[in-house]
Amino acid sequence: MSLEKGGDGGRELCHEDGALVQQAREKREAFEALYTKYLRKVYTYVYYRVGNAEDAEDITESVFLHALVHLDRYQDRGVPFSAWLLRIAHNLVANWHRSASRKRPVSLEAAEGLHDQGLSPEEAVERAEEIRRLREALASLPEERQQVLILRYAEGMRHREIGQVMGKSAGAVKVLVHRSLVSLHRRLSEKEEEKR
Amino acid sequence: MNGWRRRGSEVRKRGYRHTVRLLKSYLHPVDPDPAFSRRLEDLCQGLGADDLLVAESEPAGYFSGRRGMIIGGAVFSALPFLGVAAYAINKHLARRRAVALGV
Repeated sequence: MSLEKGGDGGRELCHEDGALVQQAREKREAFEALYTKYLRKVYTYVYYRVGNAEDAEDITESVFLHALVHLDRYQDRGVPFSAWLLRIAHNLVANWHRSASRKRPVSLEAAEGLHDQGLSPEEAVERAEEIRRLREALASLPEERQQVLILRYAEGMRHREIGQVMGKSAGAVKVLVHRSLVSLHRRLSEKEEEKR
Repeated sequence: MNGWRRRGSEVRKRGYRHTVRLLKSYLHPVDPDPAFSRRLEDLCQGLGADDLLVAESEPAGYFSGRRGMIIGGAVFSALPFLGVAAYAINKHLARRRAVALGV
């Protein structure tokens, strides 16, 4: 993991988003371009945070509708539009988690069959069990640590980009990613020891 | 397996790198259901977006400005009636006022 320097690519992307946002403000139909560009990113984040497709769809819908209604509040001050969307998503997911009635086990049904290419039935069962423990360990981490790991590994975002979402420096994000991984490993090891 | 791997006769605990590899294989971009994507797209574009904007943004911007005008208009419209009522009450009270004579 290296600390990424702010490149021109990111700046161009930011300007491109700024232009799209400006178009969307003038003509709401232009919002479709932003929606198409970021739907997968937002959905992926929300999906791993809430753990099921149904709630992920509801929250993703709310994120885009919220963004559409409050598009005028977005100010292009070097923060990409995607970071703004992910902040909205983070807040809505936090609200969702706060609701006591929604404290139920994480299911992540679609993740069950992940990357099981060429595994024997026994290996597939062990793999599924391993993934289940990983999921539980991930869900037991503090919110900020879950967020940083999902943004880093599910979204493939750079430290600097994650920093823009979380309001931290790239260096702070790098440290947080490492601590989160160590914490995840520790919890996973505890679960494995319990099982033994 | 179960988080532990055999090496010869001894069983060793899986390391940090294994957790990272496992996490990387588990976390990956997820595509939403195409039907959901289409539904949201329809909602976000054209009339769906316009309806939403009217429904959510107008109460704050539109009616908050109008509310003052409506209340002010109602108060000013009622002023002549209030004046007439005040005058009538005053007359009524003045007529009923008892004045003692020759005391």
